[in-house]
Amino acid sequence: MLIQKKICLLGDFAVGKTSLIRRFVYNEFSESYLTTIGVHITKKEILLGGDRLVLIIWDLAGNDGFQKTAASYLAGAAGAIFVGDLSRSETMSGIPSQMRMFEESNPGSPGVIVFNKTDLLPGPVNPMQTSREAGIPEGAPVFLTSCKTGENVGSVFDSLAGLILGR
Amino acid sequence: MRKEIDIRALKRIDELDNPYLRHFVRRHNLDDREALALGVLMEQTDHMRLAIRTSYSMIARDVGVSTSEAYRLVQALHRRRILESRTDGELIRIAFYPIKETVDEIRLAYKNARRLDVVEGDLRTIKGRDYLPRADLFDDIYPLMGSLIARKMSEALRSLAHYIDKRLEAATSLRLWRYRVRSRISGVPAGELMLRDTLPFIVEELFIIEKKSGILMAHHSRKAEGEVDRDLVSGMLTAIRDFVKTSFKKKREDEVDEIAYGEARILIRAEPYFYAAFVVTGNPDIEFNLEMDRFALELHRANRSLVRSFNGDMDSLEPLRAPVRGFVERFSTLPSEEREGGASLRSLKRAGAVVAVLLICLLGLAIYHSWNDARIRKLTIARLAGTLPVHMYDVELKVGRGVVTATGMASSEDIVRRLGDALASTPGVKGVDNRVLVVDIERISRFRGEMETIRKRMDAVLLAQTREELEKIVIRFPINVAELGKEQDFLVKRIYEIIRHHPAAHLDVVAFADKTGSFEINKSLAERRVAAVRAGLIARGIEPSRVHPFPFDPALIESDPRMAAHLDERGIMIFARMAEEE
Ligand SMILES: Nc1nc2c(ncn2[C@@H]2O[C@H](COP(=O)(O)OP(=O)(O)O)[C@@H](O)[C@H]2O)c(=O)[nH]1
Ligand SMILES: [Mg+2]
Repeated sequence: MLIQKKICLLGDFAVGKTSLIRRFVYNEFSESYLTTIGVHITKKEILLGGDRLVLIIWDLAGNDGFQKTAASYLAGAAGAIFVGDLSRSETMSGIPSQMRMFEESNPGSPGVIVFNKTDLLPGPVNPMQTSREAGIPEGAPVFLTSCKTGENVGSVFDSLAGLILGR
Repeated sequence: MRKEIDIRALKRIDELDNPYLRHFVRRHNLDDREALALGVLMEQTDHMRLAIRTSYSMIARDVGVSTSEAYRLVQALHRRRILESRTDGELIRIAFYPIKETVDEIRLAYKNARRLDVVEGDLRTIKGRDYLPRADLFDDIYPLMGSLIARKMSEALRSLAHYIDKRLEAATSLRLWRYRVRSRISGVPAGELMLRDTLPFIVEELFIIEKKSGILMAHHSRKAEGEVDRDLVSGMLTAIRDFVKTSFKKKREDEVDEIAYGEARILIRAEPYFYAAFVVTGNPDIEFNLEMDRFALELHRANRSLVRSFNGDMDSLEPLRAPVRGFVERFSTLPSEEREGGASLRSLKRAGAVVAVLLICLLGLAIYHSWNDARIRKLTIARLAGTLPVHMYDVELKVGRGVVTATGMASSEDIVRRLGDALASTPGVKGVDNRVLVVDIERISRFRGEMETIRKRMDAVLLAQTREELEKIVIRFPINVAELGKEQDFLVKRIYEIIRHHPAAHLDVVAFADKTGSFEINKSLAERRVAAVRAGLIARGIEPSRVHPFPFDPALIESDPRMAAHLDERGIMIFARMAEEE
């Protein structure tokens, strides 16, 4: 079966949303930073238990004028990835409100939490504790990733895909 | 090795939402490479927040230039005091100077926001009334949307336009030598010329897009699909539509949109669960509007439960495909009679002499018909004018072989009927094809009127702001000098920056002088200063007809409170006004 689903990435400015997509879709990483203007859309097909799932990935701009209209960009999304930057804790405390916003426009749609840039931290991190400190409600899967090394990026999308298709 | 500069990277920077970069580029008149290098360094320093250690060869790699060029670029930025570069062992250390000033763009954005505030109320009132939100509405509102969305939109559509252009190139046909000759001359592919000649418009593609998610449910394209991914185009269109909708708080579900780009247009018809986007080149007639309405509505009716419960399963959408393809084919292929007509004419030619006679007869017939048709057309127009009040319809009549085809709009069913009757009863008319649509003409013109009012009000607000800003600037001159020095030139540039966003404003350039010196000398100096400032503005690109030199008049200056404060100075002020305020 061929299934298409829209998913959204949410998170503050420069947490690595675009990098996460680039790593996942093209397996590349770049240190340079380009602001996403408005929305950027990419697509990636993954295989899941014999079915082909095509993800239409909406990358939303961070904290610019688009914030106001972001709600309408979330419409019809089957899932979301909430991204925070481990090296800037304020980006992680932004996640709960982003989750509320998403839940409001897509009640019941699953989401996963990503704490990105593990490569910038000297030591290990406890994802659950970080999550609690940021005030993120329990329940959603939490991933520690690095777009630079590629660590865990694939599992984020696989896990969301599984949640979306209910398997 | 030296790489060519990456133009795309440059364009990306230009399109970046980075007001500081644009500010620097403009302020320091940076060339493309300097701008690119600056952009790269800004990114690497996390928007000028961090100091970084790097090397010329790394910068060279990121910017795409040679190492020696990288050195030149960094030095250029250093010299202009945008950043500071210091050698640090093998590496260089780069840090940006903190930025003090508010950026022009930020001011401009703020200004635009204020403009929108002023008219938002009006827009809402208009929206509240039950206007027909047709293509007209979109066209009228479009200029009010920020330039950001316009840019975004063209970005998304450029790739599609490019793709269509490429496809047109491929559409040549050997048989059509006649078109090939014209094609040589005009540069447009031959097959395309023929198609365009024969059909007034062509449906290039049709997208059926799920309203909420932007997922492409069905799609057909006149020719094989190319490299641009239609799933992404579909998402982009949805994003653009959503942006427009939320920005203007459109409430109505049945809105009809149109997006123009290059030679093609995207016409949008929305249904409850999906919308249909028709990519059309040429000039679709009014009839086609109806065709689109019918098609979209029918597609919705026939597949309502299917589209409502769509959950991403693409196989379930099979029933949409045939009608979508059918529609595109119907409006992108030559009608069969025309193709056959061509063939029969060719066989006639082979028949030799008989044909010549026949052709002359045909020609005579054709002349008779066209003469007769022209006569009938005149008669029907006269008859219409005699029977119906002219403000109730706006129609076009075409006559072919005595049959009148009427297209256009009328204000009610009754008028449409009476119009048809009037046509049918005109002497010589053999048949009437009445395609006139009922449209509330009055409502549309009222709407247009209100949009016009809004536009005027926005202009007035902007003018007031422009004025306010201009009045803060006084271009002062040293004694006995009438040429623009560095300082004066800088202010002229400031003024240019202020008014270039307001193309409708006219400027009065007024000079004043201190009280020392004779009137004659002061007058001559003042007028030369006015001329110099005017020339400076014109040199920067302001149309000469918008810059009005004011004759030197001390009495006027003394009586104007805006200049009273500068009575004892030598300088120039500039006042903006609308052209009508002469
Ligand atoms: N070290 C490191 N840098 C990262 C990682 N992910 C992203 N970045 C950098 O963070 C910056 C912002 O990333 P971007 O994906 O554009 O952020 P967005 O605004 O959320 O889309 C860029 O300079 C990236 O190179 C990561 O996992 N590790
Ligand atoms: Mg981004």
